[in-house]
Amino acid sequence: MALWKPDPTFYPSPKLAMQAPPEKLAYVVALEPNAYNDSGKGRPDVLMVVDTDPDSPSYGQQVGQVEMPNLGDELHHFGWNACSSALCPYAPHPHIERRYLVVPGIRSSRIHIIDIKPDPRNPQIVKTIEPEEIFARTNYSRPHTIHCGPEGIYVSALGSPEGDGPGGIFLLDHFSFEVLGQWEMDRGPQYLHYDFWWHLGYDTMVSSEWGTPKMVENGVQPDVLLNSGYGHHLHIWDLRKRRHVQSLDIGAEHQMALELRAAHDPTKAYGFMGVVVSLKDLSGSIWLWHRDNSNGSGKNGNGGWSIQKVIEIPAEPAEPENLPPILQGFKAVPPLITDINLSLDDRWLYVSCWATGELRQYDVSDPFNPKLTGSVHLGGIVRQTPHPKNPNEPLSGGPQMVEVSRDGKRIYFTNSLYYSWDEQFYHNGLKTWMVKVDADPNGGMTLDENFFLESADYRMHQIRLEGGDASSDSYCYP
Amino acid sequence: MTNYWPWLLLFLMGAYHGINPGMGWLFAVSLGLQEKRWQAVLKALPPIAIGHALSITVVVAVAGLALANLPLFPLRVVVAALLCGFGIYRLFRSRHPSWVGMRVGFRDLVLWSFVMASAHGAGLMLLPILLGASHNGHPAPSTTNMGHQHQMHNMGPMHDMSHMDHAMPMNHVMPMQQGMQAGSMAEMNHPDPMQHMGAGGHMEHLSHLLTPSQMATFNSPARCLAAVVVHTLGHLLVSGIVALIVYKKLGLAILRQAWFNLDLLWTIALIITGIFILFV
Repeated sequence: MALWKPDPTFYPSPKLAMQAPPEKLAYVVALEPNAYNDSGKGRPDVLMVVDTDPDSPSYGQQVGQVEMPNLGDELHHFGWNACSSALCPYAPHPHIERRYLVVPGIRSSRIHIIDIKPDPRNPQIVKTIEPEEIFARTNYSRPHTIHCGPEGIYVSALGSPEGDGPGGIFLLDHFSFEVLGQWEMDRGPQYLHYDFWWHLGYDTMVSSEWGTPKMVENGVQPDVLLNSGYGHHLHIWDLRKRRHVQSLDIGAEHQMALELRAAHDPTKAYGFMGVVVSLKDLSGSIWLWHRDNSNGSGKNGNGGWSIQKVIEIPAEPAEPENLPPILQGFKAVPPLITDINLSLDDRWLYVSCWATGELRQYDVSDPFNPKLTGSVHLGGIVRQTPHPKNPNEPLSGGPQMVEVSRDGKRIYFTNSLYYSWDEQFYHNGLKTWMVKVDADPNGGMTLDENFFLESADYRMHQIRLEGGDASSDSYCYP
Repeated sequence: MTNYWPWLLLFLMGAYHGINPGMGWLFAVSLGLQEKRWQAVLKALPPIAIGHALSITVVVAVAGLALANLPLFPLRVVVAALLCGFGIYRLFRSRHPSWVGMRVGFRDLVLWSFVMASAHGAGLMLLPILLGASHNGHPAPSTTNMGHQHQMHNMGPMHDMSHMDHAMPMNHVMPMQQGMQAGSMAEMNHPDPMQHMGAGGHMEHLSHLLTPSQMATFNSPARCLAAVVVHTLGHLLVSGIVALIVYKKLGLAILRQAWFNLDLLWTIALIITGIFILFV
């Protein structure tokens, strides 16, 4: 039933959302590794509930969880049924509730709808969309990123039911969770897919490229990588006509164009794309896409777009005996930029260097000239930097899925990437952890010594914060 | 017999539609914010009003045709069923048009506004006014009593109440007033004699155009068009004022507090008016 007043977690603009109260709970998806190996001891994946209220006695601890009904979903990314975009002027429905988490399994192609309202610490699965339904209605599989759009839930999918391409986006109805079908009307040359987001003020969608399910599910394939087979394009779409407008090629030596973080302010037409690795020197890079009327003309008459590299993070030399087999020949650890996140004021960009074990903070007030303002080391293939709460325990994994609170003061991150890739790069085993960093309003950040959550049974991946966070909502007003 | 209430109500319904953020002013504000110019707010208002007017026109035209050609009682039953049905549908399936797009031109805004108004049943809201007014004004003066007689036969349990209303001079309570605007009704009843006097005075030119006896019957193209214009003026005026106040003064934070679920209220009002229309 609809509410009489707008859901209190909806904010018209990112500026107003920054005044939101601090989150007291975080939701974290976690996979159960034994479900993906030959041990025969596997259990289903879980959605964990973590206490983020510093005044609570269970601060920084897990306070609840819900187990999935099936084995081997590989929970990965997830999102809300509705968010601040419900206030958008062209399809307003502000009296819907932000209440359900939409949680896909990237391996099983099953989607779980989880209700957090009756008891936020004890969420309940209220609906399961089976893979067959998604295959039949969308001809896609491996659902991934969820964005609550102004007129429906957008879901990215890595590929076809057979495990090839093309990957793309499909729509879910945000009232009934019915699978509505493929989003694209004309995909142009787009084949590989990973992430997507949009500039609502410009009716423009952007999407990135990883690989088809067959190219990624069993780990990085060295032959594909060395032949530049992974994605290296950013695609620009007309959000309204659902048409491909432009492909921006960043060059074949750059492999795996993953996370997209568009400016939250809908009047700004730029955003950042994280690229995992360069074949030339194993560096990782961040690219800025922006509107540029001089670069061709978009078919929608909105002018063209351009892209340029704005951050490059070099690989670090290493002794081969400290490296997993896949990296030994290179005698270096690439940073492997696997996630980035942008604060709601579009000022701070956080960059996860998963393999070197570093979280970086950049001031991107001038998006063309980011300034490195902070760095925290934790884990890493070679460094294995411990957490201050337990300085004697070398950590595996590295900063990975990173989430920023709406006010921009608290940054949370976990260390697991994707089962088969965890095994490849942290071949001695990956023990999961989730930590929190306090961000200085003037730049710089420090680890919160009291927030160090470990789990022996699961591997934690994406985090969603109660009421919304810096990658969950989009806004139609500046 | 003169009755200006329908016109006032049409205007007030326009104002009510105009105050709903989903009916246009919010879109105008967002376009102003996107372009960072208040002129963009103003520029968006006319196409939004036109789209709204077009949607209303469809309903008014159909109602006008029906009023001119069909007996009133079956019409009331059909309208009652329509309002209740639509209201109940929206109560259980509170959908919104899946429009996508902020980069809109004049034609886009006309279409958007038309779609929004139609999907919300904005025109349906006017049916009780059109029908109620016809019920008052439809019969020529000489047949008024006959009309009343006829109606009283059909009244059943409402007979007494209706009779009391008749006891008050020149005041025939209409379904909209009974169903939705009970609060303001008393207030509106009050100035009725004044207006009645006005009809003989400075409003004579209007009376000339639309003879007093048929002042508020909506069974001719001219009067239907006038109904649309009056309603749309109410919509344009209020949405324009609200848009500019929010853009210039209040800011968007007001949305979080003041965006009352008008759609739900609207839905309930539709059902209630649908029921009342059977009994007047």
